[in-house]
Amino acid sequence: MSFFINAEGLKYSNLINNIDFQVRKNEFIAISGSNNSGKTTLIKVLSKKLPTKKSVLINNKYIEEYNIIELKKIIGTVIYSDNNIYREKTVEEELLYLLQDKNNKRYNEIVKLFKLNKYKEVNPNDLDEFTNIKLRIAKEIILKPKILLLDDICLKMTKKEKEEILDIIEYLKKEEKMTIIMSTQNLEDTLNCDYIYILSKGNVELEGTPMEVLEKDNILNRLGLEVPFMIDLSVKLRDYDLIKDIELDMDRMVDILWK
Amino acid sequence: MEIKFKEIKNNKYNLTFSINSKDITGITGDNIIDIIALNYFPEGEVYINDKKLLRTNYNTIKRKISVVESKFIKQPYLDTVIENMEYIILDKRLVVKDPKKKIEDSLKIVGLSKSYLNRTINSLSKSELRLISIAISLLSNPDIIILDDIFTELDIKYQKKIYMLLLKLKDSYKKTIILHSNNSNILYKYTNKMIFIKNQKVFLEGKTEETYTRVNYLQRSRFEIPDIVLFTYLAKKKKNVNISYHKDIRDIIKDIYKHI
Repeated sequence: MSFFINAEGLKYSNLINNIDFQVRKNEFIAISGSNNSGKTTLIKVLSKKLPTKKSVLINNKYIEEYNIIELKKIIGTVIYSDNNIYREKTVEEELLYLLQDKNNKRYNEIVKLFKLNKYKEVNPNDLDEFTNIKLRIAKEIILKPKILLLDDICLKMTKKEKEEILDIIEYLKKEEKMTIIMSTQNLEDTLNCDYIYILSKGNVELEGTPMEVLEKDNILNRLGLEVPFMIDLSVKLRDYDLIKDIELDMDRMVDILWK
Repeated sequence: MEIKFKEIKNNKYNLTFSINSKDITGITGDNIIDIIALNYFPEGEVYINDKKLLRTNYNTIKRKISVVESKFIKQPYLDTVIENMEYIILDKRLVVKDPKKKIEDSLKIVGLSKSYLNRTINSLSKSELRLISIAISLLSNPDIIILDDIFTELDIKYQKKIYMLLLKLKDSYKKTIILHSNNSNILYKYTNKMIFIKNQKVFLEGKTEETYTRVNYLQRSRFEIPDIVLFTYLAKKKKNVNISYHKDIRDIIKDIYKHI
């Protein structure tokens, strides 16, 4: 099966060294790693924000062969640390900038999906940080790109806010068949993805399904990454023969331990 | 230094709480950094080491408080660390005999060498920027340092590094350290006193271990509970197991082992 995104021996400056990175259509991929591991650089390379030559294939075509308009139709990108540039005076105008039609079905879908109804008349620059991130994602997917790249977007979110964003991601993957690549430092955010790449100093240090990767607590700790509490607890209890399998649900874990 | 806020009524708030230099104090819920930083003259009473804040001493006391923002704000057209630090000295009209020495000393306290002076801001990592931000906050010799979401973007290695630095500032340099965050796991790990703010009021105040273990009370007001606390709470509540609340996962494992 051919890969939708394929990068072999990818290098960028001294920030990415010889990475093999493959993604199939409609996968949800997480990229994680400690500070300075190359996560943001990789997202920027995959979105053509940083230039490469004959290194990244998107749908069997080198990324540099796509012009900006073609690329915008295929890839949506939100990078947490990039400054927001809002052209319009309200959230509604900002979302309609590309659609130009208030009664457009897509506009209504997006407003509902991102729960932006009560913010329609608000100036985008006055939004709280969470709603601001939602608006930035909403703008990127309003034209239904095939790929969504998200860099560190969950950084300052509360658990509840993260749940909302991860539900949106799940919807985009399931209902809109989007391919999603998300970088995050918090491994808790990667539990529902299909495959994880763990980067360290510009190299892929670990890769696999969440369960394959996240139970390697010694390697992850060495890399400066915090293993999600329930996985950490499960692995340690398993080492003491107190449980057999990884358990992510706290209630069930309590029931297993004290039958 | 102890700072007491008594019936502060700015912007519909009604706040009474105290902060002292023995603790690393965490604040969660509504963001009250502007109030603690005395960004405006408070409607109510503020005492610093039992000395009342007055219009006459307001500016002197305000200068003793520094805020470290979660995002480093680079000055336009100023590229290097030294340019940005020199600008702060000028902009805040800090009285510094030897600015270069003061800048070097501040960098040294946060563990950065002189070689950082000529580094460009854009070449620095998130963790290095955090250290530079703290070094900048030290230029005014503050007694109180308020850090907004300082740990959030950092991996464990740098979280521990910053935490050790905060302990050093608290214990060796006698600074009062205040962390604002809404990440309960981080606050539970790195603070020993907590103040929870909800609906413009102090909802709960006390030792970190004692406040966060009031799970039901905090959850009713939608405060996040640290994972390790929530797990222990569930075990106690559902199975009546007599395990204790811990900060370190290795301790809870030992406790579970004893109670199975």
